[in-house]
Amino acid sequence: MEVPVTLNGSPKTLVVEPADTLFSVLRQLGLYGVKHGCEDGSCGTCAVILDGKVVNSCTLLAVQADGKRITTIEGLGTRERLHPLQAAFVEAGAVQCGYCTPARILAVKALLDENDHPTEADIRDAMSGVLCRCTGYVKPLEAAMRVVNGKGVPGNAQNV
Amino acid sequence: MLPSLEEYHRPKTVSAALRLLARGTIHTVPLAGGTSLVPSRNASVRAVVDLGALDMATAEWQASPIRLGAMTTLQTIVSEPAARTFAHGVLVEAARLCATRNIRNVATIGGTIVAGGPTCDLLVAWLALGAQVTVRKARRRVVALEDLLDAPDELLDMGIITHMSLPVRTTSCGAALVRVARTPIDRAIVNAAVSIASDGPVCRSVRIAIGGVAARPIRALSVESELEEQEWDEVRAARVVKHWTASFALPSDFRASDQYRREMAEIVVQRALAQAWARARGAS
Repeated sequence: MEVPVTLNGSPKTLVVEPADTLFSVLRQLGLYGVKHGCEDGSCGTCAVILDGKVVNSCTLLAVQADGKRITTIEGLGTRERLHPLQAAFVEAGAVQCGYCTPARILAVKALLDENDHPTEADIRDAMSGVLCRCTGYVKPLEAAMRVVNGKGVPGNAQNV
Repeated sequence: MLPSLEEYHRPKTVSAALRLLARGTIHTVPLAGGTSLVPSRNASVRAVVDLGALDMATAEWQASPIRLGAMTTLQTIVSEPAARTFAHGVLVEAARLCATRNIRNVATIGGTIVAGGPTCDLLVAWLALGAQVTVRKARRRVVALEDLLDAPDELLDMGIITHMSLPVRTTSCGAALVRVARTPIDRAIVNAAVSIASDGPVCRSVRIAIGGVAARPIRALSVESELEEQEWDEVRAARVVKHWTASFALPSDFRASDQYRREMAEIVVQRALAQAWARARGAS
């Protein structure tokens, strides 16, 4: 089956089987920021932004993404020019093992796209679907708040 | 994943979807958000009918009863300003607690009815709030949520849930949801929701639902009938609840023993009753 999508800003046609999950298709495309976790929606490490909403790619059939916009962590910044959220996560030391970091940044990104002045409770809720293996939930919250408060480098929430 | 999945269909009409589901030649099931079905590894499923193009995601919050399309996502409930004041916020609280954000963005009302499980906060809240579910097969049929949960195979086989209706209470009515879990956002071990109307000191329209004490959320019918049309008496209510929770066998699993569930069931129902009654009185 051919599934047209917009992947990280560019039009793309995914060629998939009915049983393929969005997770497996994105990994096959080399998007390794989409991490392999529980495969049942419990851990959220495979999260992507689908039409503006953070979702688990492992519980979606790839064909369900038909016509939609998909953003993975690869679509945010580059190694040379980090996205403000990525920079804030580095500065706040909010990375630890890093396995959940792409999903966590995407979760906050989806929130900030909807609401550029979220509360701490909003950020906690936005990140609620992403499990940290290291139990380091405080620093990601601090990193997100840096960006919300305009202290993220090299920008502020308005250009996130 | 669904290892045997061969066919994916996305029909544009309910009748086309029903025709696909009625095929005897290939095991076909409806696909709503997919958050339960896709990771289920159910090898018997060979075809899915995606309900996403059937225009069933509309929610009419101003209608009476409130009408929620089966494809409405759980996050839509959480984000809806009109939902926050409905039933003292119990609906929004239940939606927020029953799944994380990643899942709420995809999981639907219809899917939650089918796959919510024994401690789903939304199923518990919906039972207490008197939810009715509309199912389309050859004919349209409206069933109480508890009847659907009792006989899902019989009522849903080759059918589609199109929407849910929630009555808007006109009398002085209170609602509450109380739960116990290992952490604040963990899956509940035991949870209870109550809806109760106050006619002065007299309780009316008492509905009590509880999760985590049976294979699916149930209503505490004998407690409801003991309290109905009686003056509110917290001590008597506590006694009635204690008697009820001691009257049946409870499940035991890695989350909690049956003894723990029994203790907690008594406490959460008592607290939910007291909170809902206080709200009913405050609203009168």
